[in-house]
Amino acid sequence: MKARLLLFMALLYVGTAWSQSTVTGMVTDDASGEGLPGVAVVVGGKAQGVFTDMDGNFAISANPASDELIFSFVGYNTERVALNGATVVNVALKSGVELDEVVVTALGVSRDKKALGYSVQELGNEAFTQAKQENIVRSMTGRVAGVQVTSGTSMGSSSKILLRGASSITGDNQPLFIVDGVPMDNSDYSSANQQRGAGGYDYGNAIQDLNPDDIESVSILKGPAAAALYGSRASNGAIVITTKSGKGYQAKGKRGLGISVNSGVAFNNVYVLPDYQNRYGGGPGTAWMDTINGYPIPDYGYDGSWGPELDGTNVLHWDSWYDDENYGVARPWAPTDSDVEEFFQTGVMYSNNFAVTGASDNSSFRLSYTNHDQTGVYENSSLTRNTISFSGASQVSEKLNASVSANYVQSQGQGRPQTGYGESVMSQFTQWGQRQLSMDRLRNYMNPDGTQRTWNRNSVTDPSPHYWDNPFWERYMNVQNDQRDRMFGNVTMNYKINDTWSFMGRALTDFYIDRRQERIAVGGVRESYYSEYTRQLQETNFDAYLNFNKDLNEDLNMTGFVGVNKRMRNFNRLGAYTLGGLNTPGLYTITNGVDGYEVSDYEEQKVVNSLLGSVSFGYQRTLFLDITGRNDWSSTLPDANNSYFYPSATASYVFSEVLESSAISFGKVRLGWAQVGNDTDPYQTGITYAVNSNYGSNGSVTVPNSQRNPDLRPEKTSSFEAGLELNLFMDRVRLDFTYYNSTTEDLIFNVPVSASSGYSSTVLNAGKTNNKGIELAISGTAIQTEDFRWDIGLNFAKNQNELLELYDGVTNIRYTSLFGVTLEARPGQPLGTFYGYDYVYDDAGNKLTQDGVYLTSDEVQPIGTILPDFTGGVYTDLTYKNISFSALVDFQKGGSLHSYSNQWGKYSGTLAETAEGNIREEGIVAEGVDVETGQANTVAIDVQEHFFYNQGYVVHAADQYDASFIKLREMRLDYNLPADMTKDLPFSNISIGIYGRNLAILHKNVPHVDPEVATSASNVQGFEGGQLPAERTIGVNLKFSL
Amino acid sequence: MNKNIWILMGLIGAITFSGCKKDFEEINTNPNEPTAVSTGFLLTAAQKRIMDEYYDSFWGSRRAMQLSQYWSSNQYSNESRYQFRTETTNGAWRDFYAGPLQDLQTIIDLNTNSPEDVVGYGANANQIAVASLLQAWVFQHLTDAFGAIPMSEALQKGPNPNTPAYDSQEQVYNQLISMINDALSSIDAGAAGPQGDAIFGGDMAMWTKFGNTLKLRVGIRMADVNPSAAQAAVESAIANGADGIIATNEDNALFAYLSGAPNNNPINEDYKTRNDFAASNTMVDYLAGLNDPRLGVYFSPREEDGTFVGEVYGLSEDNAALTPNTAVSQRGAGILAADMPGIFLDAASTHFILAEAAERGWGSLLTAVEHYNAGVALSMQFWSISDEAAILDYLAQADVAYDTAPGDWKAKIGAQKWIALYMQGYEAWAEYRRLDFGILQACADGTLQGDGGVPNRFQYPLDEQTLNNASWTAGVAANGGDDEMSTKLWWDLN
Repeated sequence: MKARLLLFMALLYVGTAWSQSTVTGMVTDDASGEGLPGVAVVVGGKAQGVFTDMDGNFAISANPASDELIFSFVGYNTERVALNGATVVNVALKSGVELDEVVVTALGVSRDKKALGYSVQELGNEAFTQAKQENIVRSMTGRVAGVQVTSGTSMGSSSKILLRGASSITGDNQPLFIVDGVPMDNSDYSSANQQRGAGGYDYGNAIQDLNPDDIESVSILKGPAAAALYGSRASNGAIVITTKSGKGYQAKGKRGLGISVNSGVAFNNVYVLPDYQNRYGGGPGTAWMDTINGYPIPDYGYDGSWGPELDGTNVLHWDSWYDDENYGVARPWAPTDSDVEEFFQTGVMYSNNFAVTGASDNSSFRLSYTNHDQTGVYENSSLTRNTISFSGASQVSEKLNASVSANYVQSQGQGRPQTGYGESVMSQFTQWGQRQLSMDRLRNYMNPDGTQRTWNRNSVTDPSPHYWDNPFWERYMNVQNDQRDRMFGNVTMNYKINDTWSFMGRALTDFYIDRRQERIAVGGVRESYYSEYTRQLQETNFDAYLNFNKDLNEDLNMTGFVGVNKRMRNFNRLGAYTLGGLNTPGLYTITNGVDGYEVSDYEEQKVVNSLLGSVSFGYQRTLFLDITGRNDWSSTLPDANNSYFYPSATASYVFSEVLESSAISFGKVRLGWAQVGNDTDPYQTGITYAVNSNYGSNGSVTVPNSQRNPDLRPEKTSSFEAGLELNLFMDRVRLDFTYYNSTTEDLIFNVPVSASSGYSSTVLNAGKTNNKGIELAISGTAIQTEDFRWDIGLNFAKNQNELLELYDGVTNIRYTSLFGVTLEARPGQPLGTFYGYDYVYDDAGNKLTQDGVYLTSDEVQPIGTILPDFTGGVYTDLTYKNISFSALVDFQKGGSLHSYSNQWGKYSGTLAETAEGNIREEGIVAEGVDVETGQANTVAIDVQEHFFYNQGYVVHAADQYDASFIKLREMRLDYNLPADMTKDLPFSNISIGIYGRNLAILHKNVPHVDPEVATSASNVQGFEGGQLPAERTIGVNLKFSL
Repeated sequence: MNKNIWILMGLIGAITFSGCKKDFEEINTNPNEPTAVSTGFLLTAAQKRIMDEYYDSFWGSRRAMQLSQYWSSNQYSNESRYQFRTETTNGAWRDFYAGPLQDLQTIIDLNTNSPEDVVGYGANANQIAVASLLQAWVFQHLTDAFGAIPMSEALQKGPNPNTPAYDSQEQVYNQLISMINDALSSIDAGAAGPQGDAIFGGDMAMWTKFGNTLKLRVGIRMADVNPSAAQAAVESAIANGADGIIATNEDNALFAYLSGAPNNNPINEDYKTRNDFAASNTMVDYLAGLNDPRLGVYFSPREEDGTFVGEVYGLSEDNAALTPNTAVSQRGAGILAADMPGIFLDAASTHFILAEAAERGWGSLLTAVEHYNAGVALSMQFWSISDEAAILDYLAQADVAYDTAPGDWKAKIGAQKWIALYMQGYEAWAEYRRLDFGILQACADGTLQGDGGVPNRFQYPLDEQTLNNASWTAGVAANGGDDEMSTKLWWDLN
């Protein structure tokens, strides 16, 4: 391996071995004039480089006629010197205010990445705009080690992001999103049924409001060390987003106005559909329901496909009973000519961004408008988002700088598809369906009199729907819509007191109103209904910081701050829904309820006050130490326990500064330890009653099922991390490795207890969880010539999660359950372990059968966990002149899902395996060993019995699947028009790109569905029920400036 | 300059520390939920929630109404073949214990610990008595379904509030008697009854009748296993004669469901979107054989030809699905009505209990035959058969008349009690197990779970295995068998 690497390196050098001379010189510190040792000297565009010696001298092979030398050193500005024939070059480096790799850290402080004692990874704007997703979280998929993203399949659906695994048992474990200092709400108001795959709409989580076009960069602070200063909410890490502003434009020396445009169009299509059988039609068995006029009548009311063979016999189909030309007309009972895929259309997504940037010597601004307009793959569905974003900054006086940013986002959804068991359209195609149905014929979903035409009519004489509405009726009659209006922004003032001290004060707010309307039309399976929920949320923060920065002596620099933060969160919800159906069909008002309506309102308030401080020492630019401390006072905890302090300390040592190896261009070790305290939700400590609907004019109240606790204490997470960063061979190979170990104790959660206690759960400080793991990012520049560059990279993360302790006497926490399978947290197991009945195995690992039926375990067993063994991504970027190509493959090994599409699709006879060979006629022999004979099972049982007793409804483990996958997530081709081609045009910086997202699942172990399941951003994951098919995106993008 | 900085820092610190906990108590006071309420509101909620669960589509329609073979399932028929869903068991346990039982306990606790705060909602003693009687009703319902249950330590009363121990069924029955006796003796008829009483409007004389009638029901259930306690209970219940018990339909303890959601009967609510049940052939055939006028009230004729045909009981899903709804009798319009009342206790049952007491030679108000006839007549009248001649004709039939009806007194009383207990499926199931009156048939397509016969009890909720394991284990042992449906309960000797 090592030899091969050397050979590889040697080959790279070969191409540049001629027309070389030796160029020599000395590098000095501009201020002191002394020689600088260890400065990297690189020939521009080539893989050649050396370091300066102890006195600052160097000698390097280069072509004096054409080459350029690049001098770089930590803490100094990088200098580029064109040789222009010279063979001796002396350079004085200025110590840099602008360090060569600056990252945004906690509280928006830009810091030299080399000085940090913890892991930070950054993504630039191109990660979010070049292959645009409607939700920025999805764009992070596979790109960063230790970041696990799981996304729903449909338009505007949820995306859950986990940094280094889950620590809280019942919290959502989502990181804190910060945009220009504003903590952004990321609520997911999905129902419990929605989360467990049992029906409802997926409205997605609120962070999808962020506009990719306005993002300058995203810093991912994974551990609590990085986030110690953001307080409790960042205990799962923080994602710090900096938006574009006029400052960068100004810093480039530009003045006046600049205009840029970014336009794109993309097309979505479904690409993972179950593999259906096409041999048998609907019905409970092979007998016809009846015969009329000599034609057989199928069982319209049955929602399964165990019916007669589709042999072309003329029968009276479901649509032979309406007053039209099909009345009484028999058609062949044959495989459908218009199958499930015909239900879907091509979704189109337009995105247009227009931004004006301006700068003068003292001020700058950016104003941007973005329109995102999308139609779904489901008919009558759309998602629109308009964003107006403004930021401005002004140097009011020599000492005073003021800036403001304001954003307005309006998102509107309509006709989102229903999800989950019993409600998703896939539920009636796969879980409970008749295979012979023609989508073309279903498209006519309504009679002239407004009544429904459904395949699932009760009988010949009763056209009302039995279990299922016509799927097109669902699309056009049961239409939801939603709108969120959101404003966020900040006002900031910086006052420079003197060279050492400065003061910053700012106010930040995030505010939205979210309105959701859901409708069920008169004439469907479900009782007609209208509901409307309006939620209003505002979080406002006030910050004041006193910053200092002082060189204590020549070698030792000290920076830091003390500050205060006040956070105020107000939430309210007002909702109403009709009771007893709707009086007037088609009128969707709350007062149209047959039995009136129900109204619910809710209000919540929370305040956290904090005092925080940080001090950082830098010694000779090689050794760095950061210490932070924060004290929070939270309104949600009882008086005795509502003040809590948590510190952190991190250190880093840049050993390459001392090592001076020519192979190691940069090397650093990091160590960090941090604590984060955490409070809870409001109103967990006071004892109150729940108010029900009135009974007549009588009030009705009950004792809540969850017992409150006036003695709660704050939660505490302690974490340790160590890391190594190594750049080898003139930065051609870059490696970043992190080990972390994080323990959270005194977790506050609703512990389920025996209901005979009078409560079904009680709020307690209980439980302890641990996450430990490694993250590895390796990237390399395989080839680099003047015109061509090839980078490849890999990121990899392995997280081990374990619930260490629960409350005394409590053996498990149940997140949810469906059809007997539960998702639980039990001590010794990862958070989110599936429990259900397993097979019984013999010693050789064979499944045991009795009379052809699998034996099931006496007790429920752990049958899988949502937690993957490891995750990661591989990417490659190729650039040739103005053309660049990139591809991203991401993967997950392990993890588990329970698939109700498989379970019920087999039970109801729609899936291919239910019609293999002649199993319907001859029965099926389950693979296993007979418990009595000890020999392979030979008992054939009826196929319907088999798919009842031998599948996941009885043996839960039978429909538990490995969630491993390898996906071709993204491919992209971009072309930047050369400047000389555009110099006569009014446009510049023109680039055109074509991209594809979610192109293919290269490998998976679960049949029929996509193993990546997300029904919400909550902890309830891994239940797949009537999953909406995954969608593939192909798009083009055009960018230019004026 | 440096001085200013320190002043500024001091200021920041001062602002922080002075204001760091300001108004926290007010901020964290829940504005959505009251901290003190009328106990009348708790009582209304408890009464409604008991009946809501009793008539729940899973706990009631899919279990009780199948176990009693009043109804058949017309498609998803697993429950009718005794394969019960664990979710339903978990849900019922939670909905009774953490629901009305806890609400009623709170009424008792408030009236005990801070009587002056709640005396405005009814005399303390009367509030406690009514809450206790309703608790007793629920505990009997639960023990008759499961056997041993948490009772003395339930509802935070034991040393381990989150893991209450189970009491054996014998202990539960002993406590039921003493709970009822305590309540009866503490009722102060001259003082104000509880507010929010949707059953009797706070009429304490009626609650005395409720207490005595419940004591009859509890007592008679012990008749085989503990005859002396049973006799004592029954005789003390009728010590004040017919005026002390629910002996006429006017006295029935009913929960009046209202015409619209969410206060309509849960069966009505379920029927709006689903129709999973039809008349059972067991019930239809039996009623038809006796020319019982209640047949047309309990069920509607089948659409096909206007005759009464029950769906075969215990069909497999495939076979059940083959029967169209038009080919079998459906549930009666009154049964599906929004305001079909919830039945706590009724006069017809009282008389069947007393008929049995008379047969056993215990004290009763009338003779066995008189009570039997009264039970039949009151049931007819309750179900709107007002034609007295028709009732007398019915009673005069050889298969109905007490002297000539087939079988021993257990079979005679059992059969008519079974007919009268329509819409009280759990009571019918209990009396089937105790009186062994037959009639019920084997599942047509066989059972999916259990020993092939009608279950003797339910398995405990899976939640108890995981959340209260040690107590559950002891409870299973107290039932004298495994946690199986075939394990006979303490009072079920035959």
